[in-house]
Amino acid sequence: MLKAKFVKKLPDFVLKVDLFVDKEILVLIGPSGSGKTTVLECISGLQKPDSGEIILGEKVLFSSSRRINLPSYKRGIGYIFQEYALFNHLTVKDNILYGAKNLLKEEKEKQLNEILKQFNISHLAERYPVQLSGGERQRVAMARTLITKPHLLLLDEPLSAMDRKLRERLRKEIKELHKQWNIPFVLVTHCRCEAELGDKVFKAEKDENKGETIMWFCQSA
Amino acid sequence: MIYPIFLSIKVAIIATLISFVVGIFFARLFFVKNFPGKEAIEAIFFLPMVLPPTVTGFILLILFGKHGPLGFLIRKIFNSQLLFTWWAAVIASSVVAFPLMYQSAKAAFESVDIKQERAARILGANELRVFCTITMPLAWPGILSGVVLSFARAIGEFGATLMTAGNIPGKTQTIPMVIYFAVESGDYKTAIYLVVVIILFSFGMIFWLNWLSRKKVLKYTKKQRQ
Repeated sequence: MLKAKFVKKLPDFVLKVDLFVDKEILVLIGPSGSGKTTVLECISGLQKPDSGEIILGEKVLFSSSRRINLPSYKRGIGYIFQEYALFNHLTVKDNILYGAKNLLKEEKEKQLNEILKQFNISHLAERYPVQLSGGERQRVAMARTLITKPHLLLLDEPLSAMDRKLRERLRKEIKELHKQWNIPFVLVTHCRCEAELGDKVFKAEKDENKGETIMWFCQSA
Repeated sequence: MIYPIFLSIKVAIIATLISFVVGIFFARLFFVKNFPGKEAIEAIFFLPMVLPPTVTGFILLILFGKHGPLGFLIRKIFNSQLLFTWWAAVIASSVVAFPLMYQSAKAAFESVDIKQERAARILGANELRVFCTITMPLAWPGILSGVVLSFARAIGEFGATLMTAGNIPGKTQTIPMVIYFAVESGDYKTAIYLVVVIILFSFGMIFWLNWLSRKKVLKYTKKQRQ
């Protein structure tokens, strides 16, 4: 369960976020520049909110009143970046193993093989990211995240760079993954067509208050 | 004839190592942190590149001299002096090579995809691990060109070295010194011999470093599928 209630001042507006997600898929929809990625970055610890609280399960990730701000590497969150941010200098295998530093060698090998099989990318293990297609990259990014056993998965425009056919397929894959992982997913997108992925859908709304522009996300019916 | 060759290589390698460590440290620090006076400090960093080497040498002479602050400190700690030893040549070469390393490393850090560093943090890596396993490998081609430039600058250093280490045969006499004084006294045979040695060594070193860098980078930039 993720509870995030925070405020973040951005150059053009104030971002107000009040979200609650159980083990379901939450879709945040908003045009570009509405602060969607900032929401994910605040949850993951890549940016610091100005005030508020972010709680994941029993763990307080951020609390301005209690002066808590866990660094990203301690949050136990998975994040699929917009262009996947695979490590260019590492092979697919080493990309996936990056988050499995603490596992024993045998356990690492076992998990790697399982994950490669699950995502159907065993044949790509020795390739570099530059040698992969868009769909393959996404599967590698998912596999790299899964091996860390995250308690929450954040996805930043995961389907934006895909053609229609591939998008359909990946949408199904995300749904299936969510069933398997059984953790909250927060997905941001600018496309209304991806709303059907979500158990909950929040839309960006703009408000003017005393000359201040406020962007907040409200649940759509 | 062998000692100046050996000394030049020793001085250039140690000076390159020093400018590598110090250059990387300051380049990363100044890339990550913003603070008042940063531009002024950066301008000071670049001074050895634009000042005549004799000026750099003179400043080092003052700083490391008997009554200079660093000279005093060294005398207190080690009970000896640095000027007119081969270590003075190392310091002079490091100082003139440092701006090249700093500049190359900073540009290299700026070119690293910040998203890959962020992805590493999310995957559980602390700052040190991110730096060693993501930032440095991705910045490596740029950093390596800084190493090549620093090495080239260090092995060819003359003015500042002459002022701080002097030209003491068998002690501080490097290849550029021997060449200069051989030409001055009309000994062209020695000069030509050392010119060939320094060209061959520098060419070999730079060629090897470039080959190493290309080999490493080509591995993950070639697009064709295996």
